[in-house]
Amino acid sequence: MSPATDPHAPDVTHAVAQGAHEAAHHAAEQATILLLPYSHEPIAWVFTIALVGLALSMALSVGRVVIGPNVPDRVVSLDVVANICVASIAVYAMATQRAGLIVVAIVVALILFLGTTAYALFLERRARP
Amino acid sequence: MFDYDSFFQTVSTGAVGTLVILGVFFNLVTAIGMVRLPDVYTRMQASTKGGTLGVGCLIIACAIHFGSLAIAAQSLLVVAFIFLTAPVSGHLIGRAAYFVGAPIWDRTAHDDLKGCYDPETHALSATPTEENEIYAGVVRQRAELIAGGSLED
Repeated sequence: MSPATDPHAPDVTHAVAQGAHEAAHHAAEQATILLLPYSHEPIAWVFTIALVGLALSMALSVGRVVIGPNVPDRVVSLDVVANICVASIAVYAMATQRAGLIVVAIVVALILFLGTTAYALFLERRARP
Repeated sequence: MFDYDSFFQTVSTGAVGTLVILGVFFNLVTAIGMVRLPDVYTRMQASTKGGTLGVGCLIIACAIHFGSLAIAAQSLLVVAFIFLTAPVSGHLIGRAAYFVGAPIWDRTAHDDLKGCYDPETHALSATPTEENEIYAGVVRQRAELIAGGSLED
């Protein structure tokens, strides 16, 4: 007897749908908790406004990367973009209560310095006859 | 009775909020400077000073917010690193920009390297090229005097 015609077989599709629904609900709850642990406190507004301001400043800096007339302009504005990345990581770590993200900020700051220095040396070597 | 816990909670939250707003303000000023300022050198002014101060404020806010010594140490490591590296990378980029020939704003008042850099030989001299000969002569003369023993007495 195939499972589809067995009247005593458990309702698999219903169980799967219910499981998916519960998983989605759980994920949404988890996301809410992870993104806004302080949503009932006024400091959450400060973090939200800070992230919006950082996004605005990053958009302005990326605009300079796009329109910058020559290579040093673009390197300097990419420097600013990476700086704003470090700042955003700090604000995000505070807003989500994840202290481990500070290590990410350290790594991004390191790579920022290495990248800028390497590009400066590359430009200088290219200028050399 | 005075509630120390709630007092410190209030103070640290206020400090974190103030530092975050300050840091975002400095980052916004930096970004506006990147768009509005006229040449690479003035823009580097905005990027090194404003960016460093903005990131420093936000990371110190992080150190206060988590209230743990290990995380505060990590945050201060970031601040120290950025304070050390931002001037160095700014200097290197400015030097490279001058060598590549990035245009200088026409209303720039003072250019210290004017006439000191030779784009053909990639040589930098301490003084502009006309005085360079006299200066090199003085240096050579002093070196000869030292080598000849005339300055020993």
